[in-house]
Amino acid sequence: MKKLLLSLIAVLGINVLIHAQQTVSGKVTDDTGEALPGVNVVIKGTTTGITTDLDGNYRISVDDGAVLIFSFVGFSSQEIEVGLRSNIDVSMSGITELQEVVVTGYGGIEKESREIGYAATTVDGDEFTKSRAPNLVNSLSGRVAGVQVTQSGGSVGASTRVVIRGQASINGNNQPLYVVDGIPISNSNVASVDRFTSVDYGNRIQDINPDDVESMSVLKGPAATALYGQRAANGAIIITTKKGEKNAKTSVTINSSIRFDNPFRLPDYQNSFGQGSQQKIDSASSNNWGPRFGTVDSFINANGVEEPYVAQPDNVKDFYETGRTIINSVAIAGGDEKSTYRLSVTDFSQEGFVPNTKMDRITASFNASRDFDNKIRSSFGLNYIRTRNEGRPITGFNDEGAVGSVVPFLPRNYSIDSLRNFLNDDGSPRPFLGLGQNPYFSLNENIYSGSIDRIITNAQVGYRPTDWLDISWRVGADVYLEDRQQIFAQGTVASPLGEFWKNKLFESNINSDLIVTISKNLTDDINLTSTLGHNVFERFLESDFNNGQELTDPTLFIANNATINTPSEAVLDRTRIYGLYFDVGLSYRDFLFLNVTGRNDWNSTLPEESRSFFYPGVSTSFVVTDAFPSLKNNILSFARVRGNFAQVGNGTDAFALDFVFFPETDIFQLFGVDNNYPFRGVPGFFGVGTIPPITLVPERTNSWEVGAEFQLFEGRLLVDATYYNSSTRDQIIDIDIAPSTGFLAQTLNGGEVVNRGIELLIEGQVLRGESLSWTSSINFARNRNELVSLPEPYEFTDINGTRTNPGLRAYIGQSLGTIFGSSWRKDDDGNILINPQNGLRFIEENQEIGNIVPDFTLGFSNTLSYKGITLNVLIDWRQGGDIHSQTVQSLRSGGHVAETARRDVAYIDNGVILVEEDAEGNVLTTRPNDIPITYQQFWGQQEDVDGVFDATFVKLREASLSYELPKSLLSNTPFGSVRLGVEGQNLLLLYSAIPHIDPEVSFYGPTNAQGIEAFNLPSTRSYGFNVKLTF
Amino acid sequence: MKKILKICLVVFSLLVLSSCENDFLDVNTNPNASTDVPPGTLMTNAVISLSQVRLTSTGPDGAAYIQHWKPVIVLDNPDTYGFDTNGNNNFYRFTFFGDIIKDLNLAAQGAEERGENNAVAQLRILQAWTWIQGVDRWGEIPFLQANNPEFQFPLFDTGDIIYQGVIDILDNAISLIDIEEQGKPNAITNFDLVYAGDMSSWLKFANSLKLRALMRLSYVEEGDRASEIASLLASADFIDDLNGQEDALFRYVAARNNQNFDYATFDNFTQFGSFALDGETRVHQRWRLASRTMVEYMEETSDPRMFSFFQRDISNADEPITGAINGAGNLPPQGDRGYVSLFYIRQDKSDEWFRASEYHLLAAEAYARNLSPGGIAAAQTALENGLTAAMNIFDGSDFEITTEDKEAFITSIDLASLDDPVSFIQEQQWVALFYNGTEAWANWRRTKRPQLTPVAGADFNQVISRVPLPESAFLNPNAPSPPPIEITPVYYERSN
Repeated sequence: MKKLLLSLIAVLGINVLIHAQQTVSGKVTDDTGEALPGVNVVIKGTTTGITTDLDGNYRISVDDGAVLIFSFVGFSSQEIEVGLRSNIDVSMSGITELQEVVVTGYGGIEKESREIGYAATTVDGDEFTKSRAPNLVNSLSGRVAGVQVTQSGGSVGASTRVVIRGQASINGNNQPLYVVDGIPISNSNVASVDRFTSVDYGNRIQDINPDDVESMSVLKGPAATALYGQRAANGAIIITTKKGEKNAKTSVTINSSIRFDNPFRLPDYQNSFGQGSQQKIDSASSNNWGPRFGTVDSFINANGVEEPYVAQPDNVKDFYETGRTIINSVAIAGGDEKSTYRLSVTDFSQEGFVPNTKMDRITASFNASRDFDNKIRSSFGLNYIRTRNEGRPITGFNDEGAVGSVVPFLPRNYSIDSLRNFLNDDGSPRPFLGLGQNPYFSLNENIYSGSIDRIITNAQVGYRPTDWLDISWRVGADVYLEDRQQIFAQGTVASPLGEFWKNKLFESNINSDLIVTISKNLTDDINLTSTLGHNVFERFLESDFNNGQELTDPTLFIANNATINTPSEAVLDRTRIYGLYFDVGLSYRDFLFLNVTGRNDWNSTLPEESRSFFYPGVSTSFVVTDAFPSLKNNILSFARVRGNFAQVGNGTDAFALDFVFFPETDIFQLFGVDNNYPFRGVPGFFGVGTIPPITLVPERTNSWEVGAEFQLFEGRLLVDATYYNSSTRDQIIDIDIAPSTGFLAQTLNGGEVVNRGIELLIEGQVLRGESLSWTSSINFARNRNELVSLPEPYEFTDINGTRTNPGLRAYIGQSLGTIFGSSWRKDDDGNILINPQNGLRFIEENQEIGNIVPDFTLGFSNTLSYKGITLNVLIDWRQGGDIHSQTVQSLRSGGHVAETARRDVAYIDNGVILVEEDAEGNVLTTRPNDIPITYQQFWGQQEDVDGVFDATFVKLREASLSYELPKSLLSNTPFGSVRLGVEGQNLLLLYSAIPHIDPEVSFYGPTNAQGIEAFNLPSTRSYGFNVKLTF
Repeated sequence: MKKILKICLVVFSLLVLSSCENDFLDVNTNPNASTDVPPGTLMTNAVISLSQVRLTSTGPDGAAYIQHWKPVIVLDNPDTYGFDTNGNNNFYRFTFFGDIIKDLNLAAQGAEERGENNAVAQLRILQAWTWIQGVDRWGEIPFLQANNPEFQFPLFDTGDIIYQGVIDILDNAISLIDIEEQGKPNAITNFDLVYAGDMSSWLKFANSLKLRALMRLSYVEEGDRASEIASLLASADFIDDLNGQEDALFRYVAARNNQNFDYATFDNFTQFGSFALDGETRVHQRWRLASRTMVEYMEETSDPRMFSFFQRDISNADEPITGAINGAGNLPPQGDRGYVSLFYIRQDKSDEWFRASEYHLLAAEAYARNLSPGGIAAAQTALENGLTAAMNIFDGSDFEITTEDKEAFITSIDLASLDDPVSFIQEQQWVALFYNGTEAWANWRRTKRPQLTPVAGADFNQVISRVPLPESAFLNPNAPSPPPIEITPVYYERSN
């Protein structure tokens, strides 16, 4: 292993510099003189360090001029310059205040949390590398109050939606702005073809490499984000990447992980009945209403082979493989007194648990800075991200190749082995069930491939002419080119002659900020820190698509080889914004802080007369215990209150103002080759279905929040509470209108959504022993979301993006996200009405059948340390909110799952027979139901309402165990530290009200259409091992 | 110090000034969209969209409801009066009111402004034809206030209002047509996929549609409509060419990018047995069976179209076929089945909008019912023309009917000898509208001939009268509440 690492270093061409060294030793004690074992002793600016032994002794080699940092949970850390000393004894005192959280605000300016008048949470980068999720933001699950993270399923490259403090916009973007080192980056999720028939394309925040992240700050409300402008109206997540440190010798960090993935939850199947209907075998059926096992000896499978008719309890489980992810990263960092540098390369290689799905990502990151003699400083950062995807499962449901709508519904008598052989000898596909397609054929022949080459870069030059004035200019760009290709081999259901589509996406985000900062003590007590800024931003997104059908050479997937090509080009976005802003901050004796902010934006997406708009904000923070030290006592050690009011304005999508015509490209047909234009030589155009706005003004969010923070019992307990109220008015919405107007929707201002809620953080040191410590933290968030008004006379509007059965709507007086769909007709007493003809229920369409908004979320995190061993456990609880599951409905109607196993007898449904009704449909007479039906008929009655379940869950979200090798073992090795870890994510579903599926998934990815599960892939359970070495 | 502040001020002022240049922000027009397009291109899209719905949904559903054939592989059970709810919603929301009403209004308004009367007439005739299909399908829909910016929530109109409106649209279009001013720019020519700008044919199509509309009303408004029918029949030109030269057809071609939508589904599922194969040759399709109702009716009348409509099973050389019972029930043994013939399930099969046979058979009914003078004699002539036209459509195909068979069939029919000649004519309309399920279902509701036995296994004990309004119709608070259901009769429907 050592040899391997050394040769790796050689290969990478790294020269580890050897300096003149000396040895320092000593003893660490607490303030009573007791020896402290397990104290971390680290050379500042490096990751080199050791821990003290049982007697509190340490010995370490240091370079000239080194500074040692002594740290231990529950004690204030100390920095001590070594100088010429060879023996340094240290006495550590218990801390009375938990350390200040540093929040990164605008332009990369770091502030201590005491200064800020709003709620913000910073998560240390270490958290993301302990348990390395493929998508950085997945690690936010359960960690930050008020942040809801929803993953769409277990595909490689799957998307994740993040919403902070509830959904504010009915149809606009509700996700936060992501900012990397001061540059807003893209989090696009562009669907190449509709979301019902293709793969989960993922959203682009997943490109950010967790290994390069120093910290993530979650800024929650408009006050926190006013200076980022309208794009941060839904909050912002500020990512700071790792950089070298000044005066630090070169360090090399190697981090290796291997993770294994498998499905988090699979349905609970019945294994008593097999394929067929009405207790007869039907070899084309994917339903399990066939005969009881044991009553029939054999059946003919899809390959025409006779097989024993017996249960295959694990056929679905066996279809999925064990996914595997290997992550290796190497980072070199260091700096002298004027410069810093850090270079890292991370290789991420994933094989999904769905067969034949793979994704690889290489990230190279370089950061450097340099101070010049003439008061000028500069910094530069470059991230290159190269993603290659070979094989990604189709997740839609209108597609015979979709894994999630085929595999969970395999007949119980089908062995997975009989399906693996999916081709005939001549290469043609073997028949599957009915008109279906063998999933192995789909996954092996119809490959989705994608590549993304992305560069995120920033450069900054700063000038500090005097100690109170700073001028800096930062320019950044986030540019990527994405190529997607989906091929359909000859013999595919619905494309027998072969087909493909290709989509090239190009996106660029360019940002420039000129910032002048003045920081001056006006008097001995009053400090002024003010920022004046100018910002220019442009986003451009372009798509170039072609669908090729009818291939001459069945193996060649290029346009020239297709008889029918249907190209389409689209500019999806071209938005320009510039803004001027200020932030005037005053502080009084470092315990009272006041900030007044304002920003004027000019936004290209709005009409000329309303494109300029101003929005102000004010926030304050008051450290009560510093203002009145007498309040401090044994119980209360720190108290702070904060409050703010802020407004933020927002534009709309590009190109929304004109009525235009688009050329038609093709005419989609569900079960046939699409016809396309020109049609018999004639082109076709259509007018857009949305009535453009007559006037349009920016939408406005007004918010206020108050909060308080208390540290109690000498800092062993921290309580932080926030109440906020945020109202978004003049929403720019596309409201659905009566189709008989000729249009589908009208763009207009109108409607108000209010979000109000509380967030609570309680963090405590349960144990603070010499070698054993235990820290617990609970974050709780409850958000009340309400659609207060819509333009007259509308009472609801659709939340875009779902299909119609069921769909999502926003109703006045309700939370955004009412599930509506079909239900059962009932009488006035609530009895289900039964059809006297057949004993089955009557359907009633367009009913409100649920609401997706949860009551509260709670994260419970625990860190237990014993000597070098650290155990982290994170439990995530989401209470309430509904989910509609198409999978559960289909599992039941097809007789697949355990609850359908009782079926040998007749059943009389609960309900009353409708005897007589009047012309208006009022029930006049009923009688008790006495009509027997079969269980197949009973379970076959699945309307949308039957798929709605309470989405409450409690999950063991994360557990990790790490062990830091004692330094004594490493003294004769080149290693500075060695950390070994075992970790797992999404380990257990401790409670769930919905059967068979993970209640947390969402079909429509990161769009606003949440709470709908439609044949999703199972979500992922991961576990793995991690080795982190520093030199 | 002051210098620094000055520099800052200057830099900022420059930035502010330069930023205020509106050019920088004037990027909000979509480079890949048009603001003005030729009206004909909107017509292309409108007719294709509508034809797709007709071929894949309203046509096959209607054919199953009135037992023209029995579908065996279908998603939404039209055989037991089901329909595709999503398709119904999409048709109403996107195709009907969007592509046809809104886009063609835009096109017509442009043509009106430019004084292109023939183009206006073409577009309005298409809309009138579409309105007929809408009111036949849903019963009551917004008409007078539809696609009018003054009405946010158009009121729903009843069948009588809509049918009168359709007649008015057609009258207006007929008055606009100027046969002398053919060709560009007055008419849509290159982009006219139906008649390539031939305004005489459009005139005939308009008159024929008007006859269809008047006849639709002829039971509920008999007294009022008879004179209009009489004067129309006496004076107007119709689609009446017995060889089908004037038929209003939307043509598809034998190429996979412009092929019949209905055929496309069969073609795509060849590997799943949509066709019976002899080697590579497709002998017949297997998913649409001859219905017992149709087979028995044609046997009774010795109709020579039997084996033009249907084909025998691949294993059956020349034995008779057995029709399949619509609705729940056992299928006939495989070898006895009949299948809708490949004359209909073919790549370049046209969508039939109005055929000469329909004109002649409607005229025959009008004469026989004395809606128009001429009596049984005129009815007999018209009926013979109608049957001839209906049989001639197979000429030149593998399913051609011999002249002797045609003549034998025609001479076998003598209206004067029948107890109920009107019913016979109406039954022949039912036969002649084979494959035009959309119109066949509407015409059947008007005539209730032949009398059909409702299918077993359905939610309703009668042939349904309408498809319910889709979910999106209820975005309009003026939608009827409670909404009419499948068995609520439409305006023009005969009770028995």
